[in-house]
Amino acid sequence: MMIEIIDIKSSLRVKIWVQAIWSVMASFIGVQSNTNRERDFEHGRFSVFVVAGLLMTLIFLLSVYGLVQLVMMYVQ
Amino acid sequence: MATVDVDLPHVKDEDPHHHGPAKGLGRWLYTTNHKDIGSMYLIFSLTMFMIGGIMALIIRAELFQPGLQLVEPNFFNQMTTMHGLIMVFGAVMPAFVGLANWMIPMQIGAPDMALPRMNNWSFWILPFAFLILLSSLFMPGGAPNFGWTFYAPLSTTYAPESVTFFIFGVHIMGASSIMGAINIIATILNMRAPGMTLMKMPLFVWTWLITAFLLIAVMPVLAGVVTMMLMDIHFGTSFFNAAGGGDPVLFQHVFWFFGHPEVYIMILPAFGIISEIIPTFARKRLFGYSSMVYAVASIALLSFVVWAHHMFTVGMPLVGEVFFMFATMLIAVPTGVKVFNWVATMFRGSMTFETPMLFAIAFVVLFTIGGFSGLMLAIAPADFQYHDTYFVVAHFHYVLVPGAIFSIMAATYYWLPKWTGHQLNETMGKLHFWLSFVGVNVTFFPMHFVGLAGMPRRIPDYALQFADFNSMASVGAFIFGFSQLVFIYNVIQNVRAGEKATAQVWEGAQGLEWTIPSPAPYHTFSTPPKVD
Amino acid sequence: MSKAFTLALSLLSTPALADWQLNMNEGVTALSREIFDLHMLIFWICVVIGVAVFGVMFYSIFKFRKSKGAVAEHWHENTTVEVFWTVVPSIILIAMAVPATATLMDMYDTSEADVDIQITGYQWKWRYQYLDEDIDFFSNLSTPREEIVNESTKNPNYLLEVDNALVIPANKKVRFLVTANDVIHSWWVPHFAVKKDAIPGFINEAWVKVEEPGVYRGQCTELCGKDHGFMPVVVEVKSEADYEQWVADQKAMKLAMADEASKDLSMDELIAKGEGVYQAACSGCHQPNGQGIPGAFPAITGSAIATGAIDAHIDIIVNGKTGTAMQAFKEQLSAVDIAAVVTYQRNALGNTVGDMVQPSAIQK
Repeated sequence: MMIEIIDIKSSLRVKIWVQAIWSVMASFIGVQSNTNRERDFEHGRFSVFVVAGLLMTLIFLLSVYGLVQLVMMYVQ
Repeated sequence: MATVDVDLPHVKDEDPHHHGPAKGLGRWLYTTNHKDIGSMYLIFSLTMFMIGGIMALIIRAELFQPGLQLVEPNFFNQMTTMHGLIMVFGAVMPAFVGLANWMIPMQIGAPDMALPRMNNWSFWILPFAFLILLSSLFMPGGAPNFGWTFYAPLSTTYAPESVTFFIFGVHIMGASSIMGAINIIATILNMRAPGMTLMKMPLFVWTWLITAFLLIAVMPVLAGVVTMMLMDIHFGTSFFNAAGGGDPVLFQHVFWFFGHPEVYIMILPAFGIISEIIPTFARKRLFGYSSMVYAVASIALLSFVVWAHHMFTVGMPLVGEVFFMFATMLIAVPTGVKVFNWVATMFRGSMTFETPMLFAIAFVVLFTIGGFSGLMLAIAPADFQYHDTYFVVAHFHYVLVPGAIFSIMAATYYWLPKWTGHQLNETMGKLHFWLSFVGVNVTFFPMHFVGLAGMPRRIPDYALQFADFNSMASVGAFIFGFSQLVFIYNVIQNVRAGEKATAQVWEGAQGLEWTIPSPAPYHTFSTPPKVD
Repeated sequence: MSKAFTLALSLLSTPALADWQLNMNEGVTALSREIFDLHMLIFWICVVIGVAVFGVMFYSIFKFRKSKGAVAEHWHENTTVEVFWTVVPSIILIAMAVPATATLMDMYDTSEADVDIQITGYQWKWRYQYLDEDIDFFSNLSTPREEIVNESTKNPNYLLEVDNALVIPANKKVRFLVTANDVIHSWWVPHFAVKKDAIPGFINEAWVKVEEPGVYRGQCTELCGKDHGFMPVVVEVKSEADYEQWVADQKAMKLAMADEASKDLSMDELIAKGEGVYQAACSGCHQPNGQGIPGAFPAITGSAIATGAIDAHIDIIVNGKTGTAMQAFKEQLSAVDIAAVVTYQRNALGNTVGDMVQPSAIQK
């Protein structure tokens, strides 16, 4: 019984994070649907979005950097 | 703008919150009313726009033909520098803050800004900042002459004495902007009417929220870079002095780390304005509101990782060059395609073309042209040919003049009846629009050509092959400059008299600001409205 | 009155020389043509997108007017369409990045150069040093002042002409090492597609391989102070044989100059020569009449230095003054020139000190 509650809680937490990361990715390409926006603004937490945003920016930077390194290696 | 003609119902003595404006000069000096402060910001911005405009006309008059006719090269450099500084920090930014002051409380159903006294202060330090800056024109050695980007060491070791006043002025402007931004954030996050959830906010409010965060993030960077200059000039440090072990390129990195988000600071509120106006006159809801909000939000982060595309010729390592080219291209697309959303809003709408709509449509077309030249500039190898030529001048004037400035004019025409209670004089508005539209294009379009042909920017005299397009640009500049007198006439006339405006003003207008009477009473939403 | 007249005169005379060039120069090197092609490619991409967007927009403006009875529809979202119009331009641009990166790599490949030339930006002239030969000279604007202030007709190369052009051989890879002495400059020749910032304390590299001999003109493109608009770049590309001859001539000239420095000159000769040197090297800041610009550049007339001890006067010209725009002229001017200009400044421009200095006394 106890374990079940914890499971629900932690799976909910994971869900919040996954949704935030998806929303940040949507914002990077600049397209988001009304349904997802309503979900974000009704159930999302601001701090989660800030952290997800910073995280995704870092990932964006690293992936562009990785891409550049790859191109450089490929050419030389 | 100017005095708001207030016609309040009978005021009950026991309610101290319901009073009209104070009388005389004190009303403006001590006011904490968001509408008064908004008006002052707008009048200030218009004044600066005219001063910066006169400087632009001096520049264009000198460049009307080859040879030195009117001004000395040193004074010419002072004009280009002051024109840039005044237009960016004195005209565009305060105009947006003024519009925010007027409209954000009315759009979210708040009685005033969250921090009214700080609001007063953040406005009143601005005129002093610019008096300090402008006074440098009359100092020995003249005003700052190192360009609005003030690259060291030209702006440190080799600068005129007045550079210290410039630094002080920039610090004050920065403080004003930061306070304004804090106020806007506090207002939007805390003062919304019941039911006005974040996701229901008008886009103008949304874009300003993001802009305010950008301001708080980057104005300290600007303050930092001018402080480093100050240290180099007066306290013997060598941040930017190669002879002392410093690095002149460091200056450019720090400056553009401020400068690139600054570009968005000047365009995001414009996106917000256009996203209000087009739906009103197309009588159709904005296409992809959610996408707009998300795209604008992501700019708050992504605008910080592309700064070095302003510095492709500085001798960065190849890896840096490729990195910033890729990052710039990837970021440009999602923000650029927002233009498609405006077009999609017009598609299958029911359009009319009042003055604000004309300016908004011109914004979409001409801003897109500026976006295209921006895409071209993002291609690093080609940028070696474009960099620091008139092609760049054409590019950023297309995004700033028919971009930011047209959006400010559109906003003024759009909300003026709400401020003054008088309907617009459409004939005069359309006259102003067409003169400005023709003037802007005759001025800035030929600059693409001379830039590609090889004319560097910031030169007081040029080779003969550039003569024809330069005279054309100068003629356009005078048309554009003088057509602003029509604008001033329109605004003054509208303040003084005109047909009585209804509360909704425009047939298709939606939103809280259109539910209150025109002119908006001195105090609005003292009791919060209910938003469903 | 006369100013108005010359203004009217130049108004009539200039348009005949002007042209209506609309596009970028294709240039004269393989690399410049590659860049030109990139420029045209992105340009046409923009044109196509523009035609599509503006097409839909103007169609809407004409078709969906209220005055024509159009009634607004109610849809306001379609994520699929939005994703489509975001992804398509992204793919186009990423495709565009491939050739752009390749070109960039070519531009950065400065290895295996045949000739190395150091380019140094000074306020407001260029210095060219051939690292393998003993050649070192300055390149100043040579357009006469009268043309700039509209007192005589402008020649076709107005503002794009110099006293000593940079000379390079055709069909050889020439590497430029670009730096600056005072502020940041930028060395640009549009036909080579070479633009590189000249930054004090840094050495940037660029290269060019020109196929055809000819004269190519450009300008400084980074704001560098008052005469930023008056420091052109002129490059003369010579065939290999002509280039060798030029190098030999330069060396002979250098010997002749050293010889001249040992001769003594009369006061009148020095003043006459000094006037020319002053107008070319000093008048940009100190002004042709020696009055300077108050607050920016000190006057020569009545100055403590030009009327004080002659050794201090020579020293400031030879070594400059650190932290100001007064640069060291020892590399730029010959001993004869320095002796002449010192004598000139002390005995002209309103000064009447009465002494003089001989070239042999100038310690560089």
